Amino acid sequence: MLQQYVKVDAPVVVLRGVRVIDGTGAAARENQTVVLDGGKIAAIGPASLKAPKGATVLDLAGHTVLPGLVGMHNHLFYTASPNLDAHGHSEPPRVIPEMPFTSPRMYLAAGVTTMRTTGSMSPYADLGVKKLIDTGKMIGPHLDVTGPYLDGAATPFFQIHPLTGPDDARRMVNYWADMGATSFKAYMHISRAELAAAIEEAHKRGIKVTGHLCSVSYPEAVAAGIDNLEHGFTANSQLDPDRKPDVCSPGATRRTLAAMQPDTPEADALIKLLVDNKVAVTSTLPVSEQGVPGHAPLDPRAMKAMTAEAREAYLYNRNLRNTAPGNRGAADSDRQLRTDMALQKKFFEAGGLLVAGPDPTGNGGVLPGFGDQRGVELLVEAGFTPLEAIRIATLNGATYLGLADRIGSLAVGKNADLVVVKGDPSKTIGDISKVEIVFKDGVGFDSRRVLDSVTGRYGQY
Amino acid sequence: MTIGTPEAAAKAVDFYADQGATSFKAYTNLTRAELGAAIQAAHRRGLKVTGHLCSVTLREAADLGIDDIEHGFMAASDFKANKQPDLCPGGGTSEAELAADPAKADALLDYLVQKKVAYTSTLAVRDTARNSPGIEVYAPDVRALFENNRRQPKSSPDAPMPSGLKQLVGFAKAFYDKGGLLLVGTDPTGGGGVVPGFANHTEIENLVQGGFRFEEAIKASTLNGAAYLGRAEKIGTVAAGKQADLVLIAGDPSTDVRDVRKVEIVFKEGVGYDPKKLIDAVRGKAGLY
Ligand SMILES: [Zn+2]
Repeated sequence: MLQQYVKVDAPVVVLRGVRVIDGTGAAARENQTVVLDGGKIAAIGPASLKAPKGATVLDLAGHTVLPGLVGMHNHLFYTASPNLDAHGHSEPPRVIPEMPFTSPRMYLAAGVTTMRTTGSMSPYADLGVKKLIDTGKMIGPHLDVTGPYLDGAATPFFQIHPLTGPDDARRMVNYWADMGATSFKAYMHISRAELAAAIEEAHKRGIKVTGHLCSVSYPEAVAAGIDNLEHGFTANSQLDPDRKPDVCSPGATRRTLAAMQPDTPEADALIKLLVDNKVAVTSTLPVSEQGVPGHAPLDPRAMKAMTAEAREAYLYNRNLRNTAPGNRGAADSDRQLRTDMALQKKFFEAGGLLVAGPDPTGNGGVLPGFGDQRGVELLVEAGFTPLEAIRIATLNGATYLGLADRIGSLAVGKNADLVVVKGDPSKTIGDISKVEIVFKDGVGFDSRRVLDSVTGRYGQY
Repeated sequence: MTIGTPEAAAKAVDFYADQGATSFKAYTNLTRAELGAAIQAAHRRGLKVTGHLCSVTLREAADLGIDDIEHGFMAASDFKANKQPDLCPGGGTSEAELAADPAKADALLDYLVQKKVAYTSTLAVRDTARNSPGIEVYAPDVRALFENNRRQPKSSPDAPMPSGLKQLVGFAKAFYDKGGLLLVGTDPTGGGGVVPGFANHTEIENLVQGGFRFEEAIKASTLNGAAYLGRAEKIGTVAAGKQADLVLIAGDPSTDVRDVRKVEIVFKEGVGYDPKKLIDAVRGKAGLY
């Protein structure tokens, strides 16, 4: 059944005539030969490199090979607002249905070979998807399954268990780690005490904790020992003048970002704090740009993958954003995006570990896989070179996950997780979307066929 | 979730009871030891456990103290010839298997009654060939999925009751007549033709077609459920002082059971809801979210 999605499955595969972008940030190398053997990268060398006997040779002139993307904010769910109409009205509750069929396929087809689920609404489903993929019963990336969201009593999502205090946070971490969760994510209404307790339990097990914060500021989270902060610099509340401890006030994070321009001492101090404490930052520009009218392109591939209902809801949301009277908040959203981009750049240049993920939520315009590719494009828009952007989306994620000895860059001995794209993303970053074959552990999947198999299904299952 | 040991089963019960769960359900691949541990953990907290079983027979589950059996005899592996302890032999229990030993079936019903195990009848899930009212509220894609993958060829609502269904109603009736606590559910799963709400009416129709008096079918669908949940003093019958949870129907379902679908107002705690408006608000969306 799944064999129809496989383009190449041979013990030894040789990719000839390819441009190699190795994911470390090093310059692209032209006209290379890459040998994959037994699911590993066996050799990378010049055109003169001999193909081993009996190898399957693919002539890929005009193509580029890069490491499989490591998606660091990649949910397996979709966000639905029931009965959303053209005016933006919907009925409660906001529903987060799991997309266990479409999401893993869309990620894989886009070149994502490893990803973190970064907060789960259906943790048993996420763990089940991982098991099905690992046993070959489904196709999809390698998964780092994040446990259910760790959020406080004020959580707005009915599918989240509201923590009742630090002991409850400890119970949650231990229970879900026992069930198989390999990371955790704190959310917008967690208290400092709950966050500290969760981190302490997780660290006892060697498990990392990230956070999409608000009630807890970035410096407070660093003090609690957090490993990673989601959404760049857009979820920090430290400079909100009306800030109350442990409370997420509306607008607190926007006010903080507005006050934290890249050339301020506050920005310098925060970035130094993060770098000194080895706290990674996840760039999620695709979900942020949705707030800026006209910024996100209307991706025909996304339109094709969505159900009619999901497409309608997204187009309503998109239209509302683009046509709001006087484009309310438009200039502000654009400024916020620019500030976040500049802070991410500054953090990276200061030696911070910047990783990337799309966060397929929000208004419905960020889709699995396509969003990962868009994230790399937006990093280039933020001022990174294409090679830096690719490194952020590959090797840096692998480094955070502690997997850099096996994945994240193209090097002899590493797993054969790599992407073949048409064109040259080192010059034209948009070429990162022209994916043709995605190798995962040496098996080459046909990107187009995988995508065709989810046509009209994203939003349903 | 998949349970690995009796300790894990008890731990799961405690974890979710702490988070607010007020009942538990065992499924088809638990061992007897796991089920026993879960039941004990739940009972320590005064919570009930039901089961859609297979690896554990109904008689074994009754001995372990289970409170309710889902799907009645549809899920009774007691009648499978190849049943091994703690293993699910696969496949439901067929009409022929259930017919093979009437005395055994009767004795099992007696045993469930004696052990005060409730029995949840879910007939609609076996009746999607004749009946799938409500499928028009599904999203078009979801409806197509059902229509294109029908497990049984479509017949008509006026077709006679299939023999397998008749047999299952017969067991439910025998259980009821022996004094067992018969409950009614719908189970909107399977091939997709069981639509929430609509299927509750199908269930009542089936019970009546299969030999229940209308009043008995209603009692099983209302008061018995309330009694199982320990809420019979507040809900489950129309009586002075009880909560105003009631249904107004245009017609007399006690003379023609099909009138049970003619719901005009649903009162919940005294607030009367308009079923037509509620259904219109989900038309074309059911099955998506
Ligand atoms: Zn997210």
